[in-house]
Amino acid sequence: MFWYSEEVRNLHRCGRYMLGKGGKRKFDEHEDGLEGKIVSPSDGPSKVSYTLQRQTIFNISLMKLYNHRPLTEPSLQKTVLINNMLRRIQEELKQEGSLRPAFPASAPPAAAADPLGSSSREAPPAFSQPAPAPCELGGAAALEACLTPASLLEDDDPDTFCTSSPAAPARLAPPALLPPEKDSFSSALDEIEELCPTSTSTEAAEADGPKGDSSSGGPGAPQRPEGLQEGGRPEDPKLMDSLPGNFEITASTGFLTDLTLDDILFADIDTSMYDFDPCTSASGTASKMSPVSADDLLKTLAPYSSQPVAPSQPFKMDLTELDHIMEVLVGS
Amino acid sequence: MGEDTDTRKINHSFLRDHSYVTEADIISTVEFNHTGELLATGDKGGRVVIFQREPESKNAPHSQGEYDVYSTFQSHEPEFDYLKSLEIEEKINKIKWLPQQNAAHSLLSTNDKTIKLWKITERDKRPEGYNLKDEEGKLKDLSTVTSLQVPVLKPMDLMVEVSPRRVFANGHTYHINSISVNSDCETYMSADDLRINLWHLAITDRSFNIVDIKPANMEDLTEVITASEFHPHHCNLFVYSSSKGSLRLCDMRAAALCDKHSKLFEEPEDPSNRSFFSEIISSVSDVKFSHSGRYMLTRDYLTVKVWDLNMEARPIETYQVHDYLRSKLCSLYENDCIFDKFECAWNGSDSVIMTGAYNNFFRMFDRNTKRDVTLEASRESSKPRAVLKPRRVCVGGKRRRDDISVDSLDFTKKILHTAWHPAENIIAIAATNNLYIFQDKVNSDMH
Repeated sequence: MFWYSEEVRNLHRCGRYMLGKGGKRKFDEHEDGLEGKIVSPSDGPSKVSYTLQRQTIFNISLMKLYNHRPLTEPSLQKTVLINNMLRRIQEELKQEGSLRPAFPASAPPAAAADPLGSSSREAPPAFSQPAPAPCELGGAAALEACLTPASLLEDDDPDTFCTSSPAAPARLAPPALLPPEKDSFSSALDEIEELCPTSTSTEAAEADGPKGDSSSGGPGAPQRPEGLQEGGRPEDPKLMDSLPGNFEITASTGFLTDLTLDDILFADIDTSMYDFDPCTSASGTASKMSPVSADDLLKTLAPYSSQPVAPSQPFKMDLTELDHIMEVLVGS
Repeated sequence: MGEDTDTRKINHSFLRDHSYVTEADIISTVEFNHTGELLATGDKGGRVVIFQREPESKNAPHSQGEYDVYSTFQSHEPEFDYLKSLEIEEKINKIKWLPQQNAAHSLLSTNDKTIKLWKITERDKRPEGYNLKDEEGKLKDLSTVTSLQVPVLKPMDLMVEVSPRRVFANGHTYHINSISVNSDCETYMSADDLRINLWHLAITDRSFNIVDIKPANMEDLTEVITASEFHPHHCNLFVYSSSKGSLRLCDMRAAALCDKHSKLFEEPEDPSNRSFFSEIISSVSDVKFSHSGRYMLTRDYLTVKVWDLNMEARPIETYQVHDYLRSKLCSLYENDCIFDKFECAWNGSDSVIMTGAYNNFFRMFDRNTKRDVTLEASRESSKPRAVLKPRRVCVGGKRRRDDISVDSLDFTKKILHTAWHPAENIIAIAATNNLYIFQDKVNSDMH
C-alpha cells in the first residue's frame, strides 16, 4: 500500500510550513521601463510604438483564433476574451480612422490627458476626443494598413503585412524630433499602459453612433471616414461578423474574407434580418445573404403556414402579417 | 527530529523521473472532504485518486496522520462529439464531496460535459462457508456435501469499492467549469460558460436552468461565467463570477430564472493600471465563500480579493500575488499563460488565504497580521519533515542570495489547484503531476 506503482501519482509527504514574515517586494518601476512610468501623451514616437504594439497584439490575437486547430473544443472563455481584445483594437482603429488629418501635434496632449485623468468605464464622450492624435495623420491609411493585413494573412503573404504596418507608423511620426525611444518591445508596452484609453466595444460604438453619418460612403472613396464611421451598430455585426464564428463552429474562415472595404462601405445594408435560422447566424458567412424578395419568403413559409400557398401564383399578403412572420423567423 | 527511517517512507526510486510528465497524470483538481479525512484528486486522464489520513497513533508517533492512497478509479473516459467532430476531454474539472450521511462516502466528479456521482464503500468482511460453492466460488461436487452449514461473516483485508450511482449527462452545451453542492444536501448546481443548472442528486434525466447569459445573437457575446458556488449556509443563495471581473449573488427565491442578480460585486477599474490586458487579467478564475459565509474570496490573474457580502462597491481586501508580472503581460498573452486559471482557498478559520503561482510557488496571506509568504512545492526543496523555506522573487534592485529573478521563473510549473483541510493546518498542493501535502506541526511539538 505504501509502494507507488507507475500508475499512481507521486505523493510527497513533507514537513512543516510556517507563516513567516514575507519579504516586501520592492517593485522598481523603472527597472524594466514598463508599467507605472508616466509618459507624456505628447510623446511622438511613443504613439508610433503604441500603434505598433497594438498591431502586434492584434496579430497575436488573430493567430490565436485561427491558427489553432485543437482536437477538442477551444475554451469559450479564451475565445471571448481574445475577441473582445480584437474588437477593442478595431474600435480604436475606427476611431482613428474617423479623425481627419492636419491635426496640430500640440493640441492632442491636453485632450488626451483628459480621458486618462478622468477615466472610468463610463467615459464615452472622452472617446470622441482625438486621443491618439498623430495616428490620425495617416488615419484612414493606417486603418487600411491594419485591415488589409487580415486578407494578406489569408493570402499567405506575411511580408506584405509586415511592411505595411511599419509604413503607417512611419507616416505617423511627427516631424518634430523627440529623444529616441528605447527600441525594445517592453518600452513600447510601457507607452501602451499609459496611453491606452479606456473603452469597451459598446461604448466605442455608442461614441461612434452620434458621430456617424447616415449616408453611405461612395465606392470610390475609401479614404472617407464617414464610410468607415457608418453607424457603429450596423457596422459592428459586419466587421465583427466572423469573430464569434469561433463560438459555434471551430473551423471558421469568415472573418478574414469579410474584412474588406466593401463591407465597410456598404455596411448600411443590414442583412441580419435575412438570417432565417437564428442558430446559424453566428457563422460568418450567413449574413452575407442577398436581400430576399417577398416571393422567396412565401415559398419558405409555405410549410409553416396554415393557409395553402401556391408559390406560382402571385400572392397578396397583408403587410402586418408579413411583419409578424418575419418576427417569428428572426426569433425576436 | 532525525531522518525518518520508517519503511513507509516513499521510495523515490520507484517514482517516475519527474522531468518527463505524462499528460494524463497532470492533476486537475484537489478537494478535501468535509472532515478532512479524505482527499480526492482528479487528473487529466479522467482518474480520481482518493487519499485517506491515517489515524494518529501513539505507537508510531512519527506517522502524524499522513495521507495514503485509499482508492483509485477511472471516473470519466474520453468521448467524441460526432456533431461537432470534436473530442470531449476526460479531464476531471472538479470534484466535490457530498456530506457524509452513512458509512459510505459520496462525491461528484465532472469533466467538460458530464457529472457523475460516485459512492465509495468499504468492505472488510465476507461470507465464508457456502454449501454449494467452495472458497474460490466454484460449484462443489454435490456428492461431497455431507452436511449443511450456515455461512459466517469473516474479516478480510479492507477492500474499497467505488461504484457510479448517477450519471448526469446532456445538461450542458458548453464546458462545465464548476459544481457546487447545496447546503440542503439534496441539490447541486453545475455551471458552464453560459448557463447554470440546478440538479437534484437523485434525478438524472432533468435539471433546472437557473442562470442563462447566452445572448440571442452569439455575436454579441462578450462575457462568460467562470466559476460559481452555493452559499455554505443559505441554500437559496449562490454566487457566480464572470470573465469581466464581476460577481453576481443570486437568490433562488426571487425567480425561477436568476438572470437578474440580487447583488453585483464589481470593482471600478484602476485608471493608472489600464492596459490592453485589463479585461483579461480582471477575469475571475475562482470564487470561494468563506466558512463563515460572510465573505467571498476571488482570484484574478494578479490578485486575490476578499469581498464582504454586504459591500458591493469594492473588495475589502486585495492581495498582490505576483504583481511583478504586470510588466510581462504581453508575453504572457502570447504564450497563453495569461489565461491560466488559478484557484484560491480559505483556511478553516477564514484567517489565512492561499493561492498558487508560477515556478511551483504558492502564496499565503494572513488577513489578521497582513503578513504574506511565498513557498515552493518541489522535490528538491522539500524533504520529509523539513521546514519550508520562504522564497522571494526579486524584481531588480537588491538581490539576496536565494532570490529568484522574474526572468528565470518557470511558467510551465504552475500551481493552479490547492486545497486546505477544513479544520487543521494541512494543505494539499498540486504541482503538475505531483501532489504535495504540507502540515503545520508547530503546535504538535508541544506534546
